[in-house]
Amino acid sequence: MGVYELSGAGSVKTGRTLYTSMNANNQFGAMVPIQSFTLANSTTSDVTFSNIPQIYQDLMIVGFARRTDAAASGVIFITPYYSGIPASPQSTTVLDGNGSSVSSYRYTSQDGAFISSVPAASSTAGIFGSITWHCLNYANTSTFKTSIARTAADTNGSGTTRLAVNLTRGTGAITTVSCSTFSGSAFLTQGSTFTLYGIRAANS
Amino acid sequence: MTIAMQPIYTQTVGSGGASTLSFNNIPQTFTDLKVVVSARQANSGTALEVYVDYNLNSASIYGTTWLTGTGSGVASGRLASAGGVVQTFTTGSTATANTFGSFELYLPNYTSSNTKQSIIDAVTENNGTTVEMKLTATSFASSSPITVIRFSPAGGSFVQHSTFSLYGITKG
Amino acid sequence: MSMVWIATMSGGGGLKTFTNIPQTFTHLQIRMNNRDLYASTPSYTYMRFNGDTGDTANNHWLRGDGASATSEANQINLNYVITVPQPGNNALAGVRNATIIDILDYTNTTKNKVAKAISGYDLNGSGFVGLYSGQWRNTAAITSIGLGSAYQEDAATFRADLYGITSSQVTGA
Repeated sequence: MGVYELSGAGSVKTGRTLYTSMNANNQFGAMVPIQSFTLANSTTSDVTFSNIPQIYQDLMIVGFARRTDAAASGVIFITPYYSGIPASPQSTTVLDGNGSSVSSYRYTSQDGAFISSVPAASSTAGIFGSITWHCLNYANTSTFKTSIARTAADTNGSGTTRLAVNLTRGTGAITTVSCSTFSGSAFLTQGSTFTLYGIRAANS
Repeated sequence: MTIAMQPIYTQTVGSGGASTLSFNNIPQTFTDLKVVVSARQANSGTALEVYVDYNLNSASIYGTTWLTGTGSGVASGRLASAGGVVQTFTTGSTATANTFGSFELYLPNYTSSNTKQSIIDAVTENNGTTVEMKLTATSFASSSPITVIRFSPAGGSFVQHSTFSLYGITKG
Repeated sequence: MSMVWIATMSGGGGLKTFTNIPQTFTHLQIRMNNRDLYASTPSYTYMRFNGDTGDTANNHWLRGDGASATSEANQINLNYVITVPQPGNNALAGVRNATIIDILDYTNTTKNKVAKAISGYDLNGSGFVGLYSGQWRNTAAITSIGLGSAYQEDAATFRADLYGITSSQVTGA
């Protein structure tokens, strides 16, 4: 198939091919697992995907997480960064439903990305939050990076459902993503898992 | 190179409609499950609920938290200790003709012995203001791995051409 | 395998189009990262199927702006299926939105075509995140998808990737 540009809003002019036929017969598929963590204990507050290959178009993380601190819920910061990133480069816009009301709020100029919230130790045992997170165009060296995440954290009588977007204000390619409680005293619960996938596109 | 996402099952509703639809004997070899649904129901309504249960288990061990947009307002609600997942929607017979609702259910760690927590995003569409747009979180407090997923329409039956596709995602 | 990259488009100008979309998949996904040269924020990216400029579409959204949440019917009887906000040229430099659009059963000739999207951008002080939907009231198979703004996407950074998703022949019933 071909990709054409139609120049002139609302009209069709002479088409000009931008790309020739694509590799629709790619045998490997677009979604490729890169790395996975499953916590064997509850003694770490952070898992980090490092040295992320720069050969994909987008990144995706699937998380299944719970925190150990004595609260009903807590944030899981899924934070993209690279060496030399500017200070406090993260900002997040959140859309939340908590079972009784809808809210939207924002964090600005943070070190971590406030993009997800999962159950913590005061909630019913054995309930973890589920997270799907996407960072598009992560290896681009001329743009800031936008990531978007869905989180489900129902605890059968409480909990939240969330959609959030995060901006990382740095033009460097993302080489590291941290999944963290951002706390020295709140850990990720044993059994928490995080898996990083690459999404392939042309020339990747 | 590991192929992360693979199709497992697909069902398309035939001319007689379907009062329920189940994926049975789900392989236990993947990490996560993903279901995408394009469906419409026979009963009257622009948007009708779809109930989801796992392992044919209708015990009161499901919780749902949702966030809704209706095209004119927003709301959040909850149902605890229910016999299935609620607040997933497809179109009904009084939605725009030939329009089917669309939803995706993502279920990480479906073989885990922990409570299963699914993410569901659903939209219905209609040539009018009123729709149901849902961001839903659901918990299923069972230690059993998921081997069956069943979808049941609130509106009588799923109509012909409704499709349900199940995928397995592996972490490698 | 089930998710396969089909094509990428980029570059500035008005509406850009994926054409001759293979009819061999079951569903489509578009992953988009873009910004407009129009000097107003938000600007909007529009999507159109098969070049249809008639009033054959409608769309809705549920979104938060960092202060409140709203849900609206954008308009009724439109000629674009989905519209998602994006940064304009007056927004914080370097910011692009992130959008993932799913279109199920795009070759099915008995169904109108419905698109579902999650989309958002943040400007460290403003922004949107939301769930978006739209339908094209036409049962024809989708063979082309047009994307762009009414003005002009940032030539240096507009990017949309099209993926095809297959389904199984096994029912599991």
